[in-house]
Amino acid sequence: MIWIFNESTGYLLLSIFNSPISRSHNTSTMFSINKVVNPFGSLIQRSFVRQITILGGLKPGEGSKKNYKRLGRGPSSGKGKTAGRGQKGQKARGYVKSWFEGGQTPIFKLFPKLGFTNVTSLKLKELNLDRITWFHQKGRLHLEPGETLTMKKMKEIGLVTGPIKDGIKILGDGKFSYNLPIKIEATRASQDAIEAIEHAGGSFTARYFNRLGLRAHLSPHWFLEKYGRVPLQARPTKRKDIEYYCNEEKRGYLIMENDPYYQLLQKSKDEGGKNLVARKTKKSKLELQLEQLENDFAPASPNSEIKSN
Amino acid sequence: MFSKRQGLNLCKNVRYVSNKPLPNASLPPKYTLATVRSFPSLEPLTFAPVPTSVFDAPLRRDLLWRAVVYENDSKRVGSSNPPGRSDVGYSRRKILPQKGSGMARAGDANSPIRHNGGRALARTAPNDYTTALPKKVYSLAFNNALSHQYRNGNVFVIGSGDGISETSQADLNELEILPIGEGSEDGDIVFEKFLKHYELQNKKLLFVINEPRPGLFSFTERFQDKVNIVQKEFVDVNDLLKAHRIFIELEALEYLAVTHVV
Repeated sequence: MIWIFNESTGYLLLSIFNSPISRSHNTSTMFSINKVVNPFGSLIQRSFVRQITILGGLKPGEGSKKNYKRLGRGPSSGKGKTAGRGQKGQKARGYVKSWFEGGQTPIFKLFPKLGFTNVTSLKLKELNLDRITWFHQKGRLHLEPGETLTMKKMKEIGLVTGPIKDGIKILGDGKFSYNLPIKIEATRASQDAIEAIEHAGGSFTARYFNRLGLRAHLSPHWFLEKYGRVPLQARPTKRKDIEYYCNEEKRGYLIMENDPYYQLLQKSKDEGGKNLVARKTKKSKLELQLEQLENDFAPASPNSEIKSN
Repeated sequence: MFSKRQGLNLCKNVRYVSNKPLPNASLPPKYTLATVRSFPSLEPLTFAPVPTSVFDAPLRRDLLWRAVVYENDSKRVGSSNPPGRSDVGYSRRKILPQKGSGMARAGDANSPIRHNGGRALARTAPNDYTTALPKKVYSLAFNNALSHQYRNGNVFVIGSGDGISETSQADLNELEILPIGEGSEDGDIVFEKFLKHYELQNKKLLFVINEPRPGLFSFTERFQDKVNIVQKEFVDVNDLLKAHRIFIELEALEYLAVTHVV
């Protein structure tokens, strides 16, 4: 009928498929789907033709599931009468706070507090170079040619997951095998990571974001939908931040891109603070009056057009 | 000093340390070659390279279990609607006086402890039984199911060959069935012949199609309970595992391989 196989077609592949073994098994001109021929011409006989579905044989990973404890369901369960709470007392009736030491001077009263929390430290997500390499190998690093791998991009493609609070720091795990010549921008990078990135022919820029700016950078759509605009990026104002992003070793964006803000800072630094605005202090009425008099009776400079009265 | 046999026995447990680390080690293959066939003759046309993560992932029953449970949970309708103590409809009257009756204390007849009382912790339909599963786990499981079927020789990729191997006249390069004569409605004979030849009459078949195939839909209607036709976007792990044979269009396979990349 319609099933006649045309020998003239597919002639190159046919020579593989019409190996003597497969031909002797094939009585008809059609292909047997119970026998599989591998690309090298040998026949793979399927080990079993009748196959029962695997669905009945599935089971969870060992130790991944736990039955919950059924308490107070009769003596044969072993958790019947007292439901595992023992006899009498506060623990049998209600509960005792986990830090209660039975009346002994508790540890939090015995010793003074140690250490402190650095409130100025940034909570940075860490991203290692080997993860970037792995993403590239998996074909998940969707970058246009010449496109920079920014923090927004990292979040979009899933390179960094979860909430990003203050930014991302690039770390140097996998620095030896890293070979992607791409531009990367993040809050910070370790010295090893910077070296590896530049060795591979890419570049790194450390860019400052405050919390609002970071949110605007990561999800501008949220701001556009809510306010119809995206907030401007703030410049660093703390001395520590300014110093960091003016540092060439850290690849700070201020110095790497010769930012106008950097020029301004350099200018005022060179002038030795001459142009700095004097600190405003409240002057008394007498002082103001004296100042006024001084201005009024100051001798005019020879070139001045303003003449004294 | 030793006989040969003694020497061999002595050396049996000695591990030779090569100066090279793992001298015969090689990277595992990244691709398998799947045969691309025409339909319905299943004539092989060419090979398509398919990532081993899609067609040759080692079987993980635990992953499959998680995906199957997740799917079945989300399929549950949750129509149970038992009456609670407020729905039963008895009076709120106290059945017995609190004291002096010699019986246990009792409130109203709606109490769950009483015969014909309401159901404790009653629910109102629809009840949501959906569970959560990380997308990556689901994708891994999906590829695992596909690999399992492929390894057992149950997957047939349907597509077009290259220029060298032409498709025969009666065949198509997609999962579609055309009637023998133009204008006739005898496509189901073609499909029946296909089933008979490959002894698939009592097998559950899954057809994964790239786009709607009206011929396939209409001419397989007689075999509805055995044939499952699913568009590429809607295939799930249950579909893959329940099928005895899977016929998948090459484009659909490409789509799935890309969507379920982990």
